[in-house]
Amino acid sequence: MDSLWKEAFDAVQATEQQKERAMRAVKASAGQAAPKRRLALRTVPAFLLAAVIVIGCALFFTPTIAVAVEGASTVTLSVNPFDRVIASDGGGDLYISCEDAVERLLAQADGAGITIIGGGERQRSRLGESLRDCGAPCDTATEQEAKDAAAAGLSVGKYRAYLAWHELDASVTAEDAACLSMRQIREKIAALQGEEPSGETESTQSNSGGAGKGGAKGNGKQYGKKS
Amino acid sequence: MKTEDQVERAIARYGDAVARVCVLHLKNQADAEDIFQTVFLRYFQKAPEFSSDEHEKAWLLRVAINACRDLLKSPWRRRVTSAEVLAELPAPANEEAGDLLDAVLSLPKKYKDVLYLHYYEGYTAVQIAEILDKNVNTVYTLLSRGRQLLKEKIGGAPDGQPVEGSL
Repeated sequence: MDSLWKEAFDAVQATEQQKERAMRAVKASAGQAAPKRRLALRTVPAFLLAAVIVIGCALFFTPTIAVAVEGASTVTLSVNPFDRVIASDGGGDLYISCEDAVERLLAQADGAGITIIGGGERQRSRLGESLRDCGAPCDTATEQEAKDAAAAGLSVGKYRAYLAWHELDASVTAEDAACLSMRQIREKIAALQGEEPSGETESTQSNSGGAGKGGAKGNGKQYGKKS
Repeated sequence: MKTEDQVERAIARYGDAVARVCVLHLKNQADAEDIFQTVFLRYFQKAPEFSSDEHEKAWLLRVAINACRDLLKSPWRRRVTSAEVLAELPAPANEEAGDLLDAVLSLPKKYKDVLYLHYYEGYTAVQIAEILDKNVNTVYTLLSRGRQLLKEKIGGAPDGQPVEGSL
């Protein structure tokens, strides 16, 4: 064990008070209510239990939000209300947590970004918080954006990047964007912004080295903003 | 169900490890005490037969981590800053160690567990993956990134050793 870690954490110990409280709780619970719980379970009508199981299974296999990991290629995960991956267009393990699935994909894709598509506000917020810790740029998009992106043959993140790039160079097409990775598109945008006179347009924002904001409406988050 | 003697023995042997996990997550001494109690109550009521002392310790750590996470999801818990936590803890004798403790406590929760389990408890990535129910590659990634974040926070490597199996 590294000595610095040992010094840092050896000072953190359970107090005698904590230990005594825990033992008191254990003694108090000895001979207590566990049998009552079993009795309660026996009294739940079987049909209610069956209904809960059926509804639970239905919910489990219902996708409520999508998460795209966009690097050189894009993998889109379908996620259920319990934040579990129930489908993926890029293969990989199913029924694991979305966070774990994204971590695995990021481990294989250098410079990838994450886009959370659709979903209710609570789940979007919850996933956004956990996925931001993955250390990759994380953004959200509406289902309309996702449809527009699909119509252009691009992933959402790449579609936004294409729009930002197109704002700076009108000769760029969706096919041009499709041939490049996200990182390459960001580099193109950064290079163009470096050549542009200073100032902001109505639909783009620039930062000191990053990408501009996509023209598509979304949640107002800056494209490529690092968490 | 375990006996009271077994619980007492477990508290004596693993109480400090459980307390550290609680402090790592909860940033609040009162919550840490509640979860400490919950963990050993669960041990008393639901612990399986263990194949070894290591298996027992890993089970307790896992229960502690999960209990802390469940509490953190609750809207009713009192939210405190790292500064409040550190004010309640006995200070490490060494300032550098204190900085490390401060830095670790301020990391996002997913990095704290893997770093603590690896660098303090000495678990391998494979063992950590079992405790945390994560993919081994995920653990390697978290260890590498967590280590990088620590370097940025404390301005140098917390130790000179690379993570086993890291890139």
